[in-house]
Amino acid sequence: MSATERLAGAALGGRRLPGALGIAALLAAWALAAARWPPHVLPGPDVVLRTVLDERALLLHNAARTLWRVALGYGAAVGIGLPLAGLLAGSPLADRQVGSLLTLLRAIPPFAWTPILLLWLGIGDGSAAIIVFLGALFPIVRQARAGFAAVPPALLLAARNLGASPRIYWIDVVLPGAAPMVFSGLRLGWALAWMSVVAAELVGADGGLGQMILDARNLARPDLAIAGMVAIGALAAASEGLLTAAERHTLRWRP
Amino acid sequence: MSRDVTLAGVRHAFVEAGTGRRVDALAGIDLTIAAGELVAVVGPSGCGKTTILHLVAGMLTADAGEVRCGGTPVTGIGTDRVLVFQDGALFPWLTVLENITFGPRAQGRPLDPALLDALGLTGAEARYPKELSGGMRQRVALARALAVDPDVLLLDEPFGALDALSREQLQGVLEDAWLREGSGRARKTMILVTHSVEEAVRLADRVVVVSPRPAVVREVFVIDAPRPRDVTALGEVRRAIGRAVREG
Ligand SMILES: Nc1ncnc2c1ncn2[C@@H]1O[C@H](COP(=O)(O)OP(=O)(O)OP(=O)(O)O)[C@@H](O)[C@H]1O
Ligand SMILES: [Mg+2]
Repeated sequence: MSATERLAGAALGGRRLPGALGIAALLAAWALAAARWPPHVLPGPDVVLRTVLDERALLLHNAARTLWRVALGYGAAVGIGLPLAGLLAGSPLADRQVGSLLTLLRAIPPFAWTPILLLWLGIGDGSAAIIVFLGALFPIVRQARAGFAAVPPALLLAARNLGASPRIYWIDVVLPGAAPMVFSGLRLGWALAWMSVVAAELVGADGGLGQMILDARNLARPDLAIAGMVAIGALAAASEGLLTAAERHTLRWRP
Repeated sequence: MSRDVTLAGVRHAFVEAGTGRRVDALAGIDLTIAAGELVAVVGPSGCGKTTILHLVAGMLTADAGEVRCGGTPVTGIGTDRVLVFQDGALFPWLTVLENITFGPRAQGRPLDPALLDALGLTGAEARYPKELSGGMRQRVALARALAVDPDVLLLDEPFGALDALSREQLQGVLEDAWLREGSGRARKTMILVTHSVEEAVRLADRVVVVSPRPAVVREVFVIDAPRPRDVTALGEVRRAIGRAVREG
């Protein structure tokens, strides 16, 4: 954070205030609206909080399922996406041949894969994880590929001039040089991973928060549905915070 | 081991990415730098000085003519010829110490511990390049290149962006590093590109004046005053070099 940003933050009465204000306003509006509607249509924040506490075992169980699917799919997207981006950046031939394929595949929304995957793999962690993988893969590859290409040529020449082995060249020069854009891809991919997992679970899955929300609707339990939505939001935001912290630490060298 | 560098009839042209036009940078450079010699190259801005260094470093290939180092043709980048870039080209994500140990680590050798001290970098090891002054940054760039212990050191206006005081200080550091090699070990061959005639006269055994683009070697001045030199006593040759640069 720069000195000017700190000053601006202080002038606003602390950097966290605007974020807290937005959430407080939403809660107030929700409570006001809930006072006018019957609880089986729109339960208030107090009711949902009760549900969260009463149903915490159910919520935790389903959250764990969802997290597991995200971890599987996102982990695979990172593990395959980063080396793939390196290959595309390093080989013009691969870039031409595989690049056009990726452009084509990227245009298909991950959710469009759901029916065919369910047909092939049935309901389960596998198909949900693959949809997460497809959602996260393309932004990760695209941004990392652009990041690899944006490393200043003088630094690459300097690395080779100083005798860098291929391993050192890629791990200690190309990857950190591309890191700012790699992180932007990881963030985009993370957001898409969460959208994809919930979409996959809504269409058909064995457990998970998305499925729980769907069941809640069928059971006429709007409080449970909203509790599920809150859990999704909280989990995604908290994990995004972890990613931001990792990014800040990794990029601490940035001017 | 010390090695000589020769450029014979070296031509190089760039193709402008925007217009597709050919830009003739070098129009036949003939130049021999003896093993262990420190040669300065001066010339107007944009004449092709950086191009010469990049050719010797093996980062560019000559369109015609030949570049040799120690008798063998230069075919690519190598740790025997290390370039200090015009802007330092430090790795911004590595600390001062990590930047300097980059070369030794890549070659599986330990860092010569005297180097940090010699370049006045003790105490700054853990800083990132963004936390350094311009002078410190150039010291790190110089230390990083010296740490590889190359036979040939190529310096592209290493002190160009500095104020007069730090500039003089770093010139002393460079001269010391070069002279120190002399006692016992072989001296490095150095090519120093500079805008400053004063710097050239202070440091170089010979000063090569290059013409405006397309560049050829215009004139070569031998400076045989004892070191360390008092440049005020070298007014005559400085004026002569200045004239040669202006007249191209
Ligand atoms: N990649 C390139 N594409 C096109 N033209 C180039 C390229 N690199 C250099 N040139 C041109 O070649 C000429 C020589 O460039 P060079 O960088 O060697 O000059 P220089 O003597 O080092 O200049 P300076 O003193 O300003 O650093 C310049 O006219 C420059 O515009
Ligand atoms: Mg230059």
